[in-house]
Amino acid sequence: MAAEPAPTGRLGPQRLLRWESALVLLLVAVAVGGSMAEPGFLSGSNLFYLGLDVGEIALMALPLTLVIVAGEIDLSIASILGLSSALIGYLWNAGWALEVIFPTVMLVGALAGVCNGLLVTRLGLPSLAVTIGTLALYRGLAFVVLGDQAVADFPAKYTRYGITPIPGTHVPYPIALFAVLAVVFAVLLHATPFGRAVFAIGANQETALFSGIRVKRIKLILYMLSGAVSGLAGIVDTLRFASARADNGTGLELAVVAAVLLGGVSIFGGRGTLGGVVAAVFLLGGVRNALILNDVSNDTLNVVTGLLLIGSVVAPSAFRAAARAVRRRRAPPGAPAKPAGST
Amino acid sequence: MGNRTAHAGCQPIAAVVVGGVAIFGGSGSVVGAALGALLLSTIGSALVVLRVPSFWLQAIAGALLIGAIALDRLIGLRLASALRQRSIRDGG
Repeated sequence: MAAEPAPTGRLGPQRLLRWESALVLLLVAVAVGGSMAEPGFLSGSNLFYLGLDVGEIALMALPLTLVIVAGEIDLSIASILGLSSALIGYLWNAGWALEVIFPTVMLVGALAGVCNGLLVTRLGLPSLAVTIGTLALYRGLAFVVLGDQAVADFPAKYTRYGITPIPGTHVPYPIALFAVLAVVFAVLLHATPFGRAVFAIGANQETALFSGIRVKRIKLILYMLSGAVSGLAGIVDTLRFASARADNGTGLELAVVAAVLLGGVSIFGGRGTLGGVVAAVFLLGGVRNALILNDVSNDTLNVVTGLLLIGSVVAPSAFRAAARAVRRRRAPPGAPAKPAGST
Repeated sequence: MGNRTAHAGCQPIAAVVVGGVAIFGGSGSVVGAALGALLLSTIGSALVVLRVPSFWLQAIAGALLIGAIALDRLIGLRLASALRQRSIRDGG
């Protein structure tokens, strides 16, 4: 029963009264507001660049959603991205073919994730502390591998996938990849026993354990997925900038965590939907893009991003409190009436 | 710029944890944290003297951080089981 992401069993308009619908409204508001301020906002080419801009964040948000729903966190994702990018440069310099390099770096990403997972599950260490450690460790290893040089002599045959849309559309390749993976992760989280186990672990780990759920194994798999997708994001990032560097994607983990939390996933685990996270990724990307189009300076952009991050933590829980208050007021007459002062 | 801030953001946490402040809260000392910072900056200086590329420092700081938490956890577990055994002995 812990698998229920939000109270959806009710009928009527109350069913729509949830954070995800508010996100969709906000997304529409950003689209309308953005195109009023700048007519080209909804043009195909701008949406293409918007998609390109959120590609890595969108990809890494998918497995991180599952990790956070399970009540854990992974702050090392952007460092795994950097390690993956540095490895691409190193192996390319060593004369490997890109067809071999790409699966290799995804495998290394998965291994990095397994290291996180083993430290969290086998030693029982807090995931926040472990992944702050590996945040430094993996980024450090990226610098050990490639130093501060940049490798940029990749053939255009490959780098064009990072900067051109799929022919005949305005869809960037990374977003197409993201769409496929989003469906896979949504099914995994919301329509399989594995996903229900993830919710159960996040809701109450002990209960899940005593219900026969293999808590450690599932967490290990989640960290492995997170690492592998971060390795994939490293490939996307390297192709987009046609440059393999150890400091690629530095600090990106906070943008990803912000998107997941804004998507309505509880930081304490046990609650959230993948659809909400997808909406939040594009909401944050859209706001940023609209501001850039209106020549907002980078400093202001950073302030706005920071405010959005704080808002992303406060808004979903404030919204839930408000929605609860509304439900309580509309409760049937038989229900015990509670004073509204406790919000 | 981003790289430098990320680097600086991690270093104090590593120093404090390496210095024996528990990440869960509830134990630790300022002296320990200062010793942790001293250890990390000494390692940094030693790397320069040994002509090791400074890129290693961040990796070493991360590894030390994980090592410190893991060690803290292992000692905690050992201590807990020792206490339990003693209380069983005293009780029986």
